[in-house]
Parts: sequence; C-alpha cells; structure tokens
Amino acid sequence: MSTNKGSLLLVDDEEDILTVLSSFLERSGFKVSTAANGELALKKIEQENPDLVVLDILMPGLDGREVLRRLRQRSSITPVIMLTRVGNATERALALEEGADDYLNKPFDAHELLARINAVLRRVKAGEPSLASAWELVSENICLDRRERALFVNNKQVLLTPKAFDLLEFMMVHPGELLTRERLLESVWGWEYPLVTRTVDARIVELRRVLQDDPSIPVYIETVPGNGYRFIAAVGIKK
Amino acid sequence: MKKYSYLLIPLGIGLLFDIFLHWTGHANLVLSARFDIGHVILVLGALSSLFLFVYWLGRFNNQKKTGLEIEKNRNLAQQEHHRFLKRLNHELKNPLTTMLSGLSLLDDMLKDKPEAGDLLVLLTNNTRRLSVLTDNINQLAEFNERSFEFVPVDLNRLLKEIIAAVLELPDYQERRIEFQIQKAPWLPHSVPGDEDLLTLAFYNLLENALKYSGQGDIIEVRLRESNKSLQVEIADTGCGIPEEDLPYIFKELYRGKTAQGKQGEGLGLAISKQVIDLHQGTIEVQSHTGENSGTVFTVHLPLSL
Repeated sequence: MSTNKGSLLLVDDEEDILTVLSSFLERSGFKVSTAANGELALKKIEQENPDLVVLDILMPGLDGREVLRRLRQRSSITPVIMLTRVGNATERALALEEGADDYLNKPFDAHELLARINAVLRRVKAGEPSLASAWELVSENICLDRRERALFVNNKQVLLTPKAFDLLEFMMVHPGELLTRERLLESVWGWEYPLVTRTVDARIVELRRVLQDDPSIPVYIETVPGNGYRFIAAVGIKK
Repeated sequence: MKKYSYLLIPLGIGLLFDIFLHWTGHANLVLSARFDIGHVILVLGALSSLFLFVYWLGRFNNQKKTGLEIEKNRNLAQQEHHRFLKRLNHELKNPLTTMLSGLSLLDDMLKDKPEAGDLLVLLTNNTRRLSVLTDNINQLAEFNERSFEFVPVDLNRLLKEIIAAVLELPDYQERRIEFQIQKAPWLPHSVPGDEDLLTLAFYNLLENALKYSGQGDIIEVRLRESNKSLQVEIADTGCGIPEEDLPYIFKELYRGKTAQGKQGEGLGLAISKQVIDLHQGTIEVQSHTGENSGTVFTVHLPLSL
C-alpha cells in the first residue's frame, strides 16, 4: 500500500460516510483526516493544510457553502470538492461565487470520488490554476465569458442554445477528463436518465458546428467511443 | 339561506310603507285597476319564477366555489406529495452513499476471494438500482418546482431522433418502428415546449411500446395536426394492458400484472404524463389484451399556449 498521493480532509456530518470513505481513500494511498462539522473542518484546514478538501454541503451549523466562503475569504486556494445534490443553476452559482473546484452528487460510488480527487489534484500539481471559479476561459481560438454567458470564436461572438453553452462551459472547466454522457447529463441537465443520452449528442453536434470542429480530426472535442467525450484543447484563464 | 335573506328587504320595505300609508290615511289612489283571477295567477307565477331564478343563481355560484376549492385542494395535495418525495429522497441519499462506497471498499478488500465477487456485483447492482430510483423520484418531484422556457419544437424532427435513439439500444436493435406523418394539407407545425422534456416523454412512451411487444409486433408512430393541436399516436400490437390496470398506469411506481418480471420501476409513464401536463396537453390510452391485443397512446399538444 503506497501512501502519500497527498493528504485529504473529509467533511460530512454522517459518521458512516466518513468511516467508509476514509478507509477506501487510505487504501488508495492518501493520508485522510476527517471532520463531522464545519467549525472543526475550518480548524483542521488551518492546522493540517490538506492538499484537498471533500466537503458536504448540507450540514447542521456551519454548512459546506459557508465553510467554503470563509476559506476563500482567507485567500486559501486549497482545492475543494463539494458533495451535494444540486441542480444545474445552483452548481453554476456556487462555482462562480464561492470557488469550489468540482461537485459530486449523492449518492455516489467511492470510485467516482477517487476519480474526481485525482483529476483535481493533477491540475493543481501541474501548477495549473483552478478553472472552476474563473470568469473567462480561453482555449485556442475561443473565449468563454461565464458571467455574460457569451462565446467568442476568433473574437466574434457566436450564438449557442443555453444548454450547449452549459455543456461547453462544463467541458472547459474539466479539460482532459473523460466525461461520460451520464455525467454530462447529470451535471449539465441535472438528470440521471442514463438512456436519454441522445440529448447530449445533439448538443455536441451543435457545439462542433459552431466551433467548426471536425470530429475526425478534433481540435476541441474528442469522442471516446463507447464512453463519452473529452475536451482536448488546453484551457487557461483570460488575463 | 341566511345569505339570501337580504332579498326580502325590498318586500319588507314595501310592506312597511303599505301598512304605514294605510294607517295614516295617505294611501292615495295611484292606479285603479282590475285584476281578474288569470292575472293574479300570472303575477304569482312570475314572482315564483323570479324566486326560482335567484335560487338557481345561488346554487350555481356555490358549485363554482366548490369546484375552485376542490382544484385548490388537489394542487395543495400534489405539492405536499412532491415535498414528501423530496424529503424522502434527501433521507435516502446518505445511507445509499455509505452502501455504494462500502461495497466498493469490500470489493477491494476481498480481491483474494473471487467467490465473493459475484455476490458483490449483485449487491452493487441492486444498490445502484435504488440510487437511480431515488434520483428518478426526485426528478418527478422537482418538475413541479422548475421553471421552463418554451420554444417552438419541431416534433417531426424530434420524433425521428427519438426513434433512432431508442432503436440503438442493445435490446431493440432488430426492431422496427414505422413513422407516419401528415403531409397534406401541410406538414405539422411546431409546438411550444421544452425540447429535452418532450424528448423524455416520448422516449418513455416508445420504450414502453418496445418493452411490451415482441419481434413480430408492429409499432407505429403517427403525427398529425388537427384543430389547434398536434396529435401523436404511439401504437403497438403487443400484449396490451389489462383493463383493471388502465386507470392506474400513469401513477408513479405503478406496475400492472404484465409488468412483472420486466426491468423498470414504473416511473416512465408517470414522467411522460407530468411532462405532457406541463405542456398543457393531454394523454390517453386505449388497450386490448388477449386476441388482437394492442395498445395506443394518444398525446395532444396545443399549438399555442
């Protein structure tokens, strides 16, 4: 059992979840600390300086959003993954205003959490800034303004349907990651109908048309056959 | 009747004046007339009619008020039902998270015990089923609270896409669905709607048709425009729905006799109905079992809201 893939702090008011998750994550090579409420979480972050915090939103007392807010107020850039059941609009609001790096809806499987943790840490370790709370994202010839909900290709604004915009936004905040249709449906549409993935495909077709991205030699969006899609261009924050 | 006692006020006033004027001797002759018995009966009849009209008006208003109350109560009950579902879902997600994650952990711990593998897969699949079920129920409950932006939706294109999608499913790749669309006097117009929700509604209906019919059965999807609405019929020659189940098939989690043994939690039709209700449309079903069995779902969607 190799250790030190990093240190994590898990925060959730359900003891059983903490028990199972910390066991699982320790076996996966992390050093894990836990906290069952917001106040304790803030103390431990200060004392232990974890590489990443997994934070449940719905907790009595100081809830996850408040913890995150205070963290960011202290100018802490510790990456945070929120555990929550949120719809799409709330997720966007949280990302922009409070600076969470990723979300995972309950109920989830520990493997999914592990995949998210690894993805976030990979970006952090590469010295890449957190994209989740950036207002404007750039990649090759495109610029996405998340506040104005506008897309610019070669400096000219192009129109997208609202869902296509949400989809592009999500993909650009998670570059390089394999995004299954199910995950996209859940995160962008707020749905969990694994069989209505046609909806995702239709929006990808729209995005490819607008970005003039040829699926056979893609610059931006790559199809991973049988699995989903990946945003393959590098994404940065507009200065 | 207390409410209508004010109707007697004019009569009362008139009576009082009559008595007063006679008593004070000021009952000057205004009009001298002779009424025969026929006229008297006519006047009595007219007065009776007037009273009956007033009575009827009162009852009509009452019925309207009762109708509105019933509608209000029904809406409140439905809202409370959805709130309950959300609370239930909220309570279920933490234990489900523990179970799903715990099973992953067990899987890892028992790597050297391959005989445990099958059991773990079974447990994980069933826990996932619960998870999907709670999510679907949550979706249903959230429909009530979402706000929607309706845009013109071309059902011709949408239905073609859905048919293509549903036939890509591994279980249905050998099946056929016929799509008939009205071409005269004109192609059907678009309807105001939410494209994703309508996709879901029709997808569930089509999947239902495929599930309850077999290789040799026919499935037809018919789109036509009639009288300010679009009509979509999804018909199959499958096993049909028993008569006693028909009134309940749109209820959440209801699974009739023929559904036993088939995958699914009985939410598909409930979701379809909710979506169509949201679009101010209607959905009906006709079905026969036994000889010449089959089912047809008829959906009407208004051309304007």
